[in-house]
Amino acid sequence: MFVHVSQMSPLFDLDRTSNELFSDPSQQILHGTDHPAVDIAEREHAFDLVVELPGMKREDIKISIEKGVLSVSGERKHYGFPEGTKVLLHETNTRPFERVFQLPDVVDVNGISAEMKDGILRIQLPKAERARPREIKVQ
Amino acid sequence: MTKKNDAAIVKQASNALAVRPESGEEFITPAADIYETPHAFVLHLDLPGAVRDGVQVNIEAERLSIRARVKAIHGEDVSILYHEIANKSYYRSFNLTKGIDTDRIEAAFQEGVLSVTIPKSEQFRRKEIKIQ
Repeated sequence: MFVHVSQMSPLFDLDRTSNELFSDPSQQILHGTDHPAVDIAEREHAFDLVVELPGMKREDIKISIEKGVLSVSGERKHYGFPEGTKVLLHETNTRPFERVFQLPDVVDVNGISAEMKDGILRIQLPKAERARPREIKVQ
Repeated sequence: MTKKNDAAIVKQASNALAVRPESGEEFITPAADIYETPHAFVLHLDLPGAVRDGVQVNIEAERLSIRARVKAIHGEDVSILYHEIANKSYYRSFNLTKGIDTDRIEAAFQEGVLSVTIPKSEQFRRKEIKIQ
């Protein structure tokens, strides 16, 4: 169905800065930008949209859907340098972020769920019943 | 204690290539924050997706090194449509210089962030002397 996201698939990332990806994991890559990394995978009955959000709690993250566009935004609110301390190194991102995705029509928006664990946000986008693969038995 | 001593206590290893855990192993250098309090240095490392049991903090020859294994993000039988998350082990090391109490280093892992508290040894702590 969506073979290549790079070829304008329905799940294409609307955010124009998405070219600045961590595309080569074999090199040393410094994580920590205001553009959190995303994976999208397809299963038989659902898509998984996974976002790396270290240091964030559930209440720091907002997920909204409007007109078939899903937005994940937030800010690392419960993190920072205590007052009176001296900052020696600051590489992590603490600025607000937002990533936006056009959902394919087959997603059942009422069934979308999300969970946060160990700095990984997983949004499950179930496919509508009619879009699920099925076998037709020959009578 | 001079300012120079302060800054020298936690310094990022300059040649990370020389300390690759095992040759050929792919790993990611996680983003780090370090701040200093009167009594300690505090290091934070972003390790999203790492498993608690797979996070190792080692001190050897005045080098603090951190390795972390990650859990596979996707199960089997999925097709990946879009891929940015490296989903590989993390590794980073820091040189520790004198003035650290290595016996009392503490670490905690929460929300994908590792916090390491590195206490200064007694003689390196900032003291204020009140004028009588």
